[in-house]
Amino acid sequence: MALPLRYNLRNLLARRASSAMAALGSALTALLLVVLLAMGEGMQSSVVGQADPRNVMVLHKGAPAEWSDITRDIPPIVSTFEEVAAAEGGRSRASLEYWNTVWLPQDDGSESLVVLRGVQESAKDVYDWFRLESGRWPQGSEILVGKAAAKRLDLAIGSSLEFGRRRWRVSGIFSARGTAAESQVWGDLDDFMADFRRDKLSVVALRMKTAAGVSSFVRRVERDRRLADYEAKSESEYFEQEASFLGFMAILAGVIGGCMGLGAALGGMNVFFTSVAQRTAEIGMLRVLGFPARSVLLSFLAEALLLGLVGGLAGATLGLGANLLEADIWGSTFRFEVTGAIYLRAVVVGVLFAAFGGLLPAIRAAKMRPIDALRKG
Amino acid sequence: MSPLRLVLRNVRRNLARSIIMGLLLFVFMFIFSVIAGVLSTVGEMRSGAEDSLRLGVSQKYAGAWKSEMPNTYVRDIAGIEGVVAATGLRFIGGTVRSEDDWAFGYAVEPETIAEVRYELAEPGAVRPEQWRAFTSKREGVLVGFRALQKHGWSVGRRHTIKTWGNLPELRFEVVGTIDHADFSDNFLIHLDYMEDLINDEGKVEQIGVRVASPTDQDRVARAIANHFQGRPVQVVVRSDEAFIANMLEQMSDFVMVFYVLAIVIFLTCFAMTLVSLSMTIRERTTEIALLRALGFSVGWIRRLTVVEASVLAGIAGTAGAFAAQGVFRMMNLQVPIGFTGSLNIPMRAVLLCSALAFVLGGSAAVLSLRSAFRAEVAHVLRKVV
Repeated sequence: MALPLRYNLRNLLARRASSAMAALGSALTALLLVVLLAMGEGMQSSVVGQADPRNVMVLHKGAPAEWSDITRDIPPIVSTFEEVAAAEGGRSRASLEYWNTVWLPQDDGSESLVVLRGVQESAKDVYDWFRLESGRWPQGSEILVGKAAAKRLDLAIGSSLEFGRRRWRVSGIFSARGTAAESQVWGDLDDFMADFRRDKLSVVALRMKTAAGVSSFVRRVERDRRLADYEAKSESEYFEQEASFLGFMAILAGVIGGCMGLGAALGGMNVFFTSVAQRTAEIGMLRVLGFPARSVLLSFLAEALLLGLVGGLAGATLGLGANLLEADIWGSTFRFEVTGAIYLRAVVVGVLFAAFGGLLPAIRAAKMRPIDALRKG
Repeated sequence: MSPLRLVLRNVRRNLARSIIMGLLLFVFMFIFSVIAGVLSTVGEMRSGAEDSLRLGVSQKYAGAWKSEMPNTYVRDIAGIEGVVAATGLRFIGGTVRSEDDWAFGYAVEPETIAEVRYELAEPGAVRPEQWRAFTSKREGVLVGFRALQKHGWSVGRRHTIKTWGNLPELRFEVVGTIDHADFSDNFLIHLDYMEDLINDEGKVEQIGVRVASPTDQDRVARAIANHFQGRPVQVVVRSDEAFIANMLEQMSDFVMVFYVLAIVIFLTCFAMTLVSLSMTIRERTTEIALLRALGFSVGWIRRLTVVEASVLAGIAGTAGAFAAQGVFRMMNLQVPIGFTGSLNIPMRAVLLCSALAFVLGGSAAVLSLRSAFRAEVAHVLRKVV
C-alpha cells in the first residue's frame, strides 16, 4: 500500500521555507549547469559550425592556418584532383586564402585581436554560409567585415580601419550563419599578401563533389610526392581540433556542476533529516496503520524528487535566459546556446542530486520501529 | 561547564547533522577555491606586469603570432640609450609522447636571457650548478617544474620533441628545472642549437628589453621604434603591462563568467549553511530557553553558538580549500588560454576561502538565532513541561 502523493505535497507545503531552500539548491545547480554548458555549446557551434562535410583544407603539415605556408605551385595541383567539384564555367571550386591575426588599436588605447582572411571571389563557391548582407565585394584597399566584427569594432559601410601598412575602407558586411567567421575581416587576397609582404598562401580550401570524396582526396594528397610538405584535412576535423580547448569547458562544467549538486544535495539532506525528526510520531502512526517501511521510504524519496524536479525545472528555465547572452573571447564573438539536451541534462542532474539528498533521511524514516517512533514523537 | 566543552558536546550530540554541515562547507569551499584560483591567476598576471621593467619588441605589420626580425636587431637595441639589456627569442612547440601531449618552450640566448627575464636569477628559481650546466652545454635544456612532471622528463636524461611542420625532431638533454611560476609549463633551449637543428638561422621572433625603471618604459619604447623607422622590417614595442592588459581584455567576458559563478556559489553556500543552522537551532529552542532561564545572557548564548558554527564551518571550509589546492596540483590542469599555463590555487586564495568559511558559519548562526531569541522563555518552557 503506497502513500498518496497528495500527502507528500501537503507536507512540502506545510514546511514552505525549508522546502523552498531545498528546491533552491537544485535550482541553482541546474542554472549554473545550463549557463556553463550553453557557453561551451555556443563556442563549439560557432567554431565547428563553419565546417561543411564536403570541404577540405590543404595546409602545411602540422601547422594551423595562420602558421601554414603554401607555395603558389600547389593550388593548380590540388584543384585538378578528380574529387574536386566544379563551379559554373568549369573552374574548380577552390578558395586560395591568406590567414593572419592582428592587434587592432582601439580608441581607449587598448588593442583587440582580429582574424584577417585574404580571399578571392571564388571563396563563395566553397563556403555556403557566406552571405553578403550589404555593400559589395572589396576592391583595392577595401574590406568586408563580418556582422559580429562590425558590431564589436563599431564599423559600418564606408567607415575605415587601419591595420598593416594602410587604411582600409569597409565595402560590405557579411554574415556566416552565426559562426566564428562572422568575427573575421576579409579582404582581397593579393592586397592582403602585398600589405603583409607575404609570398605564400596559408590555406587552399576545396569543395568536393560529394562528402565521400573527402577521404579519397585526403589519401590522394598523402600519396602525391609533390605534396610531401602538405596535408589535407576535412574542415570538420580541422575545426574540431581548433575547438579542442573546449574540453576544458566540459571539465569545468563537470567539476562546478558536480560540486554544486553535491552541496545542494547535502543541504537538502539536512532539511530532510529535520523533516524526519519532526515527523517521528507521524511515521510511527503510518506504520501502525499498516503502511510498510517501503512505502515510508518511497514517500520521503518522492518528496525529495518533487523538490528536485521543481528546483531543476525552475533553474533550467531561468537558464534559458542565457540564450540572450553573447561573449567575445580571443577576437571571436559567440552566442550562448541552450539546447534541448542541455536543458534536460540540467533538470535530470537537479533531480538526481535531490534524490541523493533525500535517500539517507528516507532510509532512516523507513527503518524506524513503529513503537519507538510513537514513543519518541 | 566550559563553553568549549559545551560546543564539543553540541557538535557530538547531533553528529550526523554536524558531519553533513561540515561536508557542505567542504564541498562549497572546494569549488569556491577553484573559482578563486582562476581569478587569482588572472589578478597575479595583471599585478605582476604592473611594475615590470620589461619591454617586448616584435615585427610591425606582421600577425599577432607571426613576428620575424633579423637577430642583428638584438645588438642594435642593446646599444640604445636607456636599455639595460636585450635578448632575442623564438617560440618552439611540439608533441612529446602523444599527439595531445604538447610542450611549449622558448629558444633563448643563454648569456642574456636572465638579464631580461630576471625571474630566472631569483634565488631558488634555478640551482646555480644547473644554470651553469645550461649555459655551458649547447644541447642543454631547462624545464619548468610542471612541464617536467607533465611530459615525464627527468634531469640528466635525453628527450625528444616532434616539432610541427616538417621540421626535424628536437633532441636535447634536460640539465635542470625552473622552479618559478612564470616558466612552470615551458622549457628553455639554446637559440643557436635550435637554429642548427631546423636549419633556419639569423632570425628572432621577439626581443625582450630591460629598462632601468618602469618610468623609462615609454621613452625607451619610442627610441627603439624610431631607431628602426624606415627599415624594411619595422618594429612595434609593447610594455609587459600593456601586453598582459591586451591579452586579458581578449578574455574579459570569460573572466566575467567566473565572477558571476563565484557570486552564485557564495550565495548558494550561504543559503544552505543558513538553512542547516536554522534547523539545528530550531531543535535547540528549548535548550536556549533553559539557558536563559538559568541566567545566561543572550550575548553569552550568541557567542557560544557563533563560535560553534564558525569553528565547524571554518575547519570544514579550510579542509575543502586545501583539498582543492592539492587536487589541482595533482591534476596539473592546463588552462587552454595559452599564456596562463596551469591552473594553480595560490595559498592566498586558500586562506581567503578559509576566512570566508569562518565568517559564513558565524553570520549564518547570528541570523538563525534571531528567531530563537524572539521566543518567550516561559512560553517555550511551558511547552516542554
